[in-house]
Amino acid sequence: MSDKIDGRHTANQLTIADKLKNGMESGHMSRREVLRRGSVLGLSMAFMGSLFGFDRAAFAQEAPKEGGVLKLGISRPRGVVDPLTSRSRSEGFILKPVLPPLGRLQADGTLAPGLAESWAPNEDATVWTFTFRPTKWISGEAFTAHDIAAALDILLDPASPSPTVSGYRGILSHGKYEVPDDSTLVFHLDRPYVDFPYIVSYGATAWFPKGYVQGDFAAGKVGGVGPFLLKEYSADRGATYVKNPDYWDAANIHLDGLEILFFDDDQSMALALQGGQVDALPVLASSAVLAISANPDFEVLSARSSAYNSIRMQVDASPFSDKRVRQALAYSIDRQAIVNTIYSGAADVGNDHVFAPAFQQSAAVVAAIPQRERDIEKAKALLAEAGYANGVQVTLTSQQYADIPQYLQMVQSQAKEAGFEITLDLKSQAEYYGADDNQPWLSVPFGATDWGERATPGAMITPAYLTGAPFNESKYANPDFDAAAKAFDAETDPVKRDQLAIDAAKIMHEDTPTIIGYFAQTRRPVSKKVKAFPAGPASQLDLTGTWLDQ
Amino acid sequence: MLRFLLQRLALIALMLLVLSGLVFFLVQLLPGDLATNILGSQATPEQYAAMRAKLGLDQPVWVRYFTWLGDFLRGEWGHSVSADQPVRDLVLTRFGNTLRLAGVALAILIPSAIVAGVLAGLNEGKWIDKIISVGGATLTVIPEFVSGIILMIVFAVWLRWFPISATAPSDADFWTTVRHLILPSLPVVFVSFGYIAKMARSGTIEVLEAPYIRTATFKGLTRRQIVLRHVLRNALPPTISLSLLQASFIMGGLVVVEQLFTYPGLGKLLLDASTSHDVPTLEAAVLLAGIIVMVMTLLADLTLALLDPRVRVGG
Amino acid sequence: MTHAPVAISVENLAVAYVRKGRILPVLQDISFSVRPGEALAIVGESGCGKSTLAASILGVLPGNAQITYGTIRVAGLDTTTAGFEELRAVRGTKIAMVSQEPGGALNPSMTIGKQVAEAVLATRGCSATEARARALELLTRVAIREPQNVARRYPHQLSGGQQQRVLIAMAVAGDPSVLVLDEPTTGLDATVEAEVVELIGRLRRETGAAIIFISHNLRLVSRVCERMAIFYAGRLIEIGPSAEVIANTAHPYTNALLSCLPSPSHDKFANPVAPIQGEVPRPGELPPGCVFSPRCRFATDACTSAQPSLEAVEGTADHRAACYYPEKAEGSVTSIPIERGPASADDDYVLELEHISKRFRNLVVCDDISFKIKRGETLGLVGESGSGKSTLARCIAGLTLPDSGIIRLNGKDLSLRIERRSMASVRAVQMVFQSPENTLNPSFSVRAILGRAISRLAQKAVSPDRLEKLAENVRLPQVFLDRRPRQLSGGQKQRVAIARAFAGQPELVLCDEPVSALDTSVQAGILYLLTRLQNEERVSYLFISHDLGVVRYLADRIGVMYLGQMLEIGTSADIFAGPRHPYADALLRASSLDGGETSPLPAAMPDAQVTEQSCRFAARCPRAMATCISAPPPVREGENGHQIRCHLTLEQLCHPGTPTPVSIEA
Repeated sequence: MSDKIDGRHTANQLTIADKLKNGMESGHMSRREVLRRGSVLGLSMAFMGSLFGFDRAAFAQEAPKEGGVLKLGISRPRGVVDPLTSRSRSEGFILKPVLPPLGRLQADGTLAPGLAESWAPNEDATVWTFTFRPTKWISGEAFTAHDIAAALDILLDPASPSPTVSGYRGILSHGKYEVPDDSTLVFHLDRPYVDFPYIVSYGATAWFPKGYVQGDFAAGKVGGVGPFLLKEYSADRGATYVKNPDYWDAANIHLDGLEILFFDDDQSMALALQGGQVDALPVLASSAVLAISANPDFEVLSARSSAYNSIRMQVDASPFSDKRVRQALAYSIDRQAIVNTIYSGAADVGNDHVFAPAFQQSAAVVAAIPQRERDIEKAKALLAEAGYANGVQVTLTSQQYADIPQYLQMVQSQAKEAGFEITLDLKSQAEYYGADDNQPWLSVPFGATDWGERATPGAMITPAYLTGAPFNESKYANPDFDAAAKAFDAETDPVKRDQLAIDAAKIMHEDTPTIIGYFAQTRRPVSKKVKAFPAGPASQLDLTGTWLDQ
Repeated sequence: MLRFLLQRLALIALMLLVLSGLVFFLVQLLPGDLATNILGSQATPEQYAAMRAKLGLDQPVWVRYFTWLGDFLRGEWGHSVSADQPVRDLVLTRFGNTLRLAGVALAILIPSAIVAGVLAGLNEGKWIDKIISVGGATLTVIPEFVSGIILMIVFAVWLRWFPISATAPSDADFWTTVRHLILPSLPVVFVSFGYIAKMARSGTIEVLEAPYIRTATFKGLTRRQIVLRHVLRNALPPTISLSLLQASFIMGGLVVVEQLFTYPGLGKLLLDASTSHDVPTLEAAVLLAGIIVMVMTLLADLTLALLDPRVRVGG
Repeated sequence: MTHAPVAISVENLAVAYVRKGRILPVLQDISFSVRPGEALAIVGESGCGKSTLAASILGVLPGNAQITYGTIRVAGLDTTTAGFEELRAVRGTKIAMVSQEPGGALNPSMTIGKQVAEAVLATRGCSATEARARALELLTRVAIREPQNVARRYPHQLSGGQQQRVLIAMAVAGDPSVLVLDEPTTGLDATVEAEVVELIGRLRRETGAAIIFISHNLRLVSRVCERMAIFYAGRLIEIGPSAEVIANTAHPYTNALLSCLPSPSHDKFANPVAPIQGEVPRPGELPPGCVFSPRCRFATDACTSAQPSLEAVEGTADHRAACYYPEKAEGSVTSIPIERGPASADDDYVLELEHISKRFRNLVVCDDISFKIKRGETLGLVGESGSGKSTLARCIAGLTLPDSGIIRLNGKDLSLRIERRSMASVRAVQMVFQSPENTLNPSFSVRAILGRAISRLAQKAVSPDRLEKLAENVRLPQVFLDRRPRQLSGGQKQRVAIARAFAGQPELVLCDEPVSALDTSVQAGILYLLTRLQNEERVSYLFISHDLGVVRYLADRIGVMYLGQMLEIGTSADIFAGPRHPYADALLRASSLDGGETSPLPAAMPDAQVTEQSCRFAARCPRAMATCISAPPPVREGENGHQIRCHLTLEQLCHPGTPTPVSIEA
């Protein structure tokens, strides 16, 4: 494993780098694509810069000013924030300045070194080796790979209520990791998984020291490994941080401190930004963004996201058991009109597969599969072929949540022209998800569900579209798709991997178990005095390089 | 008097018991449960079952109710699973916060509304009366969230006089804390201002027409003496007592305001606890809110009694 | 004491109200003056402008009233034009006022002591301590016992008489040169009224203030005031020395007012009181010419063309009247006799009460009351407030449940509970109250109210005939049938209430102070109506009143109640002739029906605890003896069923001897 060439990268990584170089030179991949792919496989920026001939520092335009306290507004997390129970984005925002992820995911999809200095897969991506840099906890104890292993022992316990466990399911099992020395952690995956570094860097998971006791975070007893130190935390008001002078990348942390304020209401959060009480909002609902985008003192940063609202049709129930009916519905909607109306353009049109623009393979997939445009004639023809020449009546069950009602009403009226008489049944969110034996979101034949952002296409596909998956709401079952999706996760060769993505996307697009009309972008309203604020991804907030112009 | 007080207290206890039962059983009708809330929508059925068993949700409703009631009466209010805090600490902290907010609201509301109402009453029919009466009635019909947002835009976004968040930093001094609470308290003040001002106005007018005001005039008292010693003394007690009734009415408005201004008060807790099916927290919060409302009503009656010698002195 | 020739002078005063853009004159061409130490009575019925006059004098007219002409001079100040501060400077010291309704005229949330001290402070520069001491002096001066104790109390803890004394104390705190008293005794019991009137007389002698005494009770003011001014419809129609005005009335209205008051010379059948036809015109509806002409039987063309001016009556110095025919005034009233019906049979009792008792907690309100009422007979019930008269009537009507006792109607036992009474007996016993506005449903028309009474009480279909006949019977004009109660005057409302009581041909009507709230001329009409109805319908009355004059006029027999006990019962003639109970004697003297000087009782309601053993009246009785406290008094039997509950024998009661002083221990 430690057969490192040039002092850092493995031979395997160099092979990959070579393939990337080929991909770029053949025009198959853009420079950005290459960076994204290289970073997740553990290629350092410096190495890639020299290999591909570009300098990341060239992107910087202004010399940053040092100092100042950045104030952020986020929606209030429920209860007391703690890494043992953390599950929401807000909790992640509170925890990660102190307890950073292994790799820092950037808005452009690249993965920068975090707590882990570097990482590398074996040839078939079943074994991953992570290397950590020496640092210390607040307690004075050294941070070691044992801390991450101990945290995983807790988080991956099958009885653990932590959401972490579901994100690792089928990829990494409890106890399948070893610590050869204090600075190295080796993961033995259940199956080949090329995107593994995303998994350990994503979500609300924050790492914590061995012997951690619930409440230590709130009491300010942990930290020291992140860019900031927790100064004060109040479950009612928010948290304040000061810069950690001992942070490994302290030179690129320009802020003196950070203050995070809680809000219960999007409207007041937006007003607080405009009122100058906070400088930036990492997450804001699109409806509240509108007023700010008109204000010249603010900028609304956008980042591509993999989150989408599914309109899924159970493939075993009439009339949607006929593929042509599903396709007919897909052809009857005007995606661009929906994007323009509901998101003022700040969304990417979807093509009924999960390879979102946020993912590396998006460009290849988009090039390979023609975009479904609205085609009423075709929709009608498909319906007629399926035996519904006179149209079809269906009930679409969903929830009163965020933009879903607005989206479904547009679909309802657009699909009507093709012959779909859709009745909307909008329940409360709690009612739609239900519990135990009564979970309408999984059981209704025709429903619409909000799927959150995921790190990788695999993380999207595995729980929802593989045959028999626990949250397979469309009851989709296609062995070819399953095979393509699994092969995709296992393929290290970037070019072959793109082809597998195209294969899987094509099957899903053709079968249309779900209509993915668009992927709404992450919107981050920021005061113009905040410079180099990360535009995304939505669940991450890496303040390296961010500075205040004041 | 003591007997009256004991009767009222017994009635309050009974009403609280009924309220607790009602809340407990009504919460069961809401879709979803605490386990869903903790685990989120995308947990596995095994996770649900384990969580439900852990939370005791697999017991019948009435067993859970009486278990809860017994514990509650013993002072064991339980653990709020959604907030991961002991219910007692949580609810009492939130209650303290709400009292602070309500305190600021009442401190603004009662003097200003009464002064305005008395002014209007003393100048019946003149322009100042018309401004106060029409203005008060207009303010009353503005819902809290509308006036709240308008106030935010004007005083926090444009003028930047007040912060938008109602929660002051923990090291804030008294006046900073109050400054944070002024903006959120105003929507509530608006809703009740017109009502109390109207009470004070009609009370003043009624007293002005009372024969004893003539008597005071005939004594040769100055206008100021007449207003302070005779008019206000008789016009205010019923108004103050009614203001206290408004205090319980304010509770409803606080739910909206606390949400809007991100203030961790009892109203916000009620809302959160009910949406997350956190029954022990909801029960404690509802009972506390119920106690406030009932005690305020009782206080209103008592104040009226204490301020009126006809009731106070064995009449 | 001021030696100025005139304390207050009113010249050519005219006051008008502005209502909906119309100017309605309420006072016109009023001129009079009062000298220091002199008392002038202002007499007139409701709506004659008396209170407006008082408000004008004191500069407290309401906003919609304005003085259109004339001046009022008090201590060199014209109160018609003075501002608040100028008026304030003279208030209390130069001019003071005692308003009606003493209960409402005191600040309910301030102790008596503070209120009086405030009046002292406002009128003289002194320290708060001095003011408090002076307040106690003032309370003593108005004959309030235990002034220190009273000073600490609140108004609601005082009796009406005490409240009025406090108001008077405040009014005289600054030794005013003019004192205006606006109906100061209205609503007070006869004995208390006498005491207050006596107090006013004494204070006048002591302070030398000019007094303006406003009242509707002509006979009462004639006892206190040497001069009187009669007002009618906003005009001063007669003014002069009281004795002169009464003896040589020079205006038909004055004469009519006098004739309205029941006096010993009246007889309810042969020489009944004569109501004045018509009503006082409202402001804005004044007739052309003499304001009284529409109601005057002598009115000529001259009377209806121009208002006569106030001219001196021939042969007098300062007696003036506004009438073209002052010499005819005394003949202005002719009473219409009522033919007396057959005498009632001796043993034909409509109502028999035996041992009725009622307690409210520790308070005995009816103590073992027994009496009978014959068919067609009127039993008058007199006594001060709190004597239990009304409770007794309510027990008979079934509105209050007595603790014990028997009620018989026409010789048959009547259940004490109204819900167990037959419809016939409910119909047979009806009640008329003092304030008809409280018993007439304001949302129904008169027609509906009477129609309901007919169908419920008479158990008959409501035909227009029957309804109109009922209205006609109480002399209620047809036009009022479609009005609602609030559109009627007090007298008209009382007629509706009486009509309702008579709808089912009752056998006994319980009248609880039915005329106490009415003006004298209206009262006369109701008294006449009651007599006529009784004669026609052979109905019996239990007539409750604190006005001995009215009771004497109407009642065949009289019962005198005191603290729940019947102290005396007997025929009117026997009681007025004597012997009578010392309490009945005091009531009679207070009302001064015998024309003598009023002599108020020495004390107000007793503070001393009267035990079960003692005579209830002992604490206030001028003739109390040691036995009165130690033993219950025996019932002395006189002629015609005359009973007196007293330790004194009938013989002793006939000859008032020297009162035996006795100390009463609490």
